[in-house]
Amino acid sequence: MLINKRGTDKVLAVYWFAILIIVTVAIVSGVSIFYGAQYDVRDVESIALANKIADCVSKGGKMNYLMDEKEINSDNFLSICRLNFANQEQDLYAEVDFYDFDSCSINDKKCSVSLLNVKTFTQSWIEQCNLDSKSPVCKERWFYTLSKDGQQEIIIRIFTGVNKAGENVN
Amino acid sequence: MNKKANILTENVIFIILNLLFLSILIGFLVLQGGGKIVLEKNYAKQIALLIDSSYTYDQNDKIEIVINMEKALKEKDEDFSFDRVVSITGNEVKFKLSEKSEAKYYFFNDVNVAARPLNDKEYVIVIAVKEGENNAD
Repeated sequence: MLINKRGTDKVLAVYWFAILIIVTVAIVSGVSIFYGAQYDVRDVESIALANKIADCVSKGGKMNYLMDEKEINSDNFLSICRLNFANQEQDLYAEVDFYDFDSCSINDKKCSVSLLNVKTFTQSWIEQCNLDSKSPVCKERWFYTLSKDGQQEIIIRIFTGVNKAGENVN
Repeated sequence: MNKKANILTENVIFIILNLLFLSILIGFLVLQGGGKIVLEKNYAKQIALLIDSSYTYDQNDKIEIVINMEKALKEKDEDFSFDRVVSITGNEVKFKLSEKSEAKYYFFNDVNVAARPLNDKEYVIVIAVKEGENNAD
């Protein structure tokens, strides 16, 4: 009787350790996935960049600059908006389009007459934006404003992108 | 008598192994949760985002952001000076909790930034417009 009981105990102990190992693997892999995942801030960063540009080009419902390439263009855009892309030239992208209000279909977010387009260095990864959680994060923002002299209605489209995969994605 | 002693020994070994297993598992969870490297990366990113989201309009404007560092201090090496935890050079935020490890993150807001300890638990980040530039119309 005693021998049988000990045999049963041994079998139970094997099962017990098997259960422990399964639980361990589950907990360790769960915790590793949770804490191993990088803290991805690209979404917030992309929104902050769009907000910064919006504040730069328009204030109080009016444009800060004349709709003229001599005043705002792709070369001076970063400096007049007080943006510094140093050390992250390959990871950040910003583009601003100024459209004539009458040429825009607000519901479809499509405009036909572009008054001006300014952008930073072209990035190859723009095509990959928002495809999955590891892809670069891009944001688009549309808003209405008046020209600097208040005579023309303008629709502004701001498109921003943040790659920085190395710092934000495993 | 010998059989009883054997059963007792086996039970004791079984309990010790279980306790050993549980303590290793708890140790692993504790180490994972408050890892130095994770904290460094998170602090560096959050400070960079704070700077990116700040708005200063003219040269008289100055933003001071106080950061509570108590959580980070728990992981900081004792012999590593608190003055060296946060450093900002150009547009780079560097966060260190020991001599051997560090995390850095870049911000895009073109402003003057300085970081210094406010007391033994807090840091202050001072953000100001660069000289010769104004945002105000």
